[in-house]
Amino acid sequence: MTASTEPTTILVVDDVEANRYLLSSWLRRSGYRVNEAGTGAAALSAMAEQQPDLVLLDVNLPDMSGLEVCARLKADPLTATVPIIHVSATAIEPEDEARGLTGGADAYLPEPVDPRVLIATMEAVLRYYRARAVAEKLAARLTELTRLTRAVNSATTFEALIAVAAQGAAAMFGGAVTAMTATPLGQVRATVDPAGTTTVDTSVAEPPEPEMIVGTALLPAVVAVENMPWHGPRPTTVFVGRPKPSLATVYVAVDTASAPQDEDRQLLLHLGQATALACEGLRARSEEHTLAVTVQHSLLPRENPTVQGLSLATRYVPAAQNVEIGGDFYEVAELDSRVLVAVGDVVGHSIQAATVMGELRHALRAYAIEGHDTVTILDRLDAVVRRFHPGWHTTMCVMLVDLENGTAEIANAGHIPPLLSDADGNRYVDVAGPLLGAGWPRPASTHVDLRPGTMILLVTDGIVERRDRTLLDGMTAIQEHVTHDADLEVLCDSLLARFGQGAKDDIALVALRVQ
Amino acid sequence: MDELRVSQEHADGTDGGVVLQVAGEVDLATVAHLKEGLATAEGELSPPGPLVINLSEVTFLASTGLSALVACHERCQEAGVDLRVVAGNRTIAHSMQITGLTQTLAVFATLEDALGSAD
Repeated sequence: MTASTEPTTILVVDDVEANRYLLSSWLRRSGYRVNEAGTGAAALSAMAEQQPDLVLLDVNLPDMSGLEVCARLKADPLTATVPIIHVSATAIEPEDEARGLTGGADAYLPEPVDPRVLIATMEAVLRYYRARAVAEKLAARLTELTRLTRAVNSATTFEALIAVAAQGAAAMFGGAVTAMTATPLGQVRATVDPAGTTTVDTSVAEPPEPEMIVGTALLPAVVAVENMPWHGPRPTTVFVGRPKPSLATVYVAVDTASAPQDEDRQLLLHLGQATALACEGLRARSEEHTLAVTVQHSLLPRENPTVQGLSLATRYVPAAQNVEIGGDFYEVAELDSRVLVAVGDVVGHSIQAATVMGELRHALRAYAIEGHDTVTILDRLDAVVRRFHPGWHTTMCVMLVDLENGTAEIANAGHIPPLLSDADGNRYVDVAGPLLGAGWPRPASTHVDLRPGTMILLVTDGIVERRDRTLLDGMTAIQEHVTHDADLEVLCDSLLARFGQGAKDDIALVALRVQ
Repeated sequence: MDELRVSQEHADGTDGGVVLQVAGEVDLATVAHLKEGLATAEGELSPPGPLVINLSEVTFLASTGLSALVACHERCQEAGVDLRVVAGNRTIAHSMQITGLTQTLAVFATLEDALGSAD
């Protein structure tokens, strides 16, 4: 309903030229644009070419009946919504009229037709169709708005979010659309051209000041301006808004020609507000994630120690595409005569879990440097969790590697046991024990002999356990993947590539080999 | 996605015992549901219970779920409640073994075993 100034086009279908002439001249005098067809076939092809707003259809045509033409038009989705009025020159019975209306016609006028009745009937039918078209368009737009709201809220990047908003606006309004916002990393702009092609670009340029566009109007606002340099040199209607005054502004611009009415501007306002709120949600989540990852990295060892006789590789990977972080950690520290190696996981995902992890890691180093055995270290850490962080249960596997004697003492608090790999094959060390924070009695530590060349792998459950793979299956898969003489860096990378893709949990790995 | 279902029933052959039936996936998203069920069961049973947690239909038990069991065990000990856990499938039994829960919790292979156990 954008262009109401266009005259209404009527297709007059009648095989008698005199009838066509008469009807056409009445209609032209009343301001309609008129096209004519003399046969059913001509009428059907005219429909596609001329797209009339209404058809006046003679019931008796030489090549097919008007009823059949009507049935075909109503069966075709492209023409089903064009109103049809039957005009019958022959004397008709009530059942003819009934059949015409049942067949999909909107009115049935017997000859002789009074011009005033004809025009009034046509206008009544057109009024109904126009109202229906408006209602259908509104329903389609609301459906699109609902879909768009869901889509912008599930976007995980600003680029995706702004692109979705622009495409949604293009689907609702047509024409060209530009959506834009500022993110912590600069400005993101998405344009959809009239052909439907989307372009997303990011730049560090400053976004426009809202006041430059809306003047003194309160935000959020939808304003029509003569042109908008970043949208195009033509009349533009633009949404400008932001969730809070301190936050980045969101702009959604459409061609004014595509959104000329109040209801269009209302719809653009809703669309813009949904986009602005989604941007704010995404910004908050991405800031928390960045902060959490920074905190977590700051709590992990900055660099691994260089230990004579031991080669070492470590990895820490935060969960992919996840705003929350885990409490995974690892530790490798050289003590007086032994090397402390540990890996662990604080249950739960949050900044708090990461800070508990940092505290436990420091306590672990402190107890280890005092010279305690692995079981005592875990017992003391258990007490720390129970005393200071009740409920923050933590799994941890602790090893003290004695390179001189070629042995390792291992104790485990509910963690995946170490995988031992040498020329004889791969096996998990049989060492279990209750997780930290339970306060349960702990079994004695396990001792293993480390011949030169023995490799030990410690992992967290992020790489082992998945929805589609149980802990046991994951452990078995890793056991089969590892070769004892693999380069440790290469091994870590291949483990992450093979088992870490799309992991929902973060992952820590420690691989070491006795030389 | 497989949801978590938690339901409570009377433990046959006991006075004030409760069986908490747990089925589905226990992870960060669903663990609150399990904790809620545990709290309700703990509140309604009369010591010494028993409180039997049947995990036979659990397909995935993340560490956060194990953590909830440990916390429950602690409360049961304080209240003098006999806590029994049914780890009725390989996945759950293995998770509980790895995490050292089998060393302290009373773990059973079937619900019948758990209900037949004298404390």
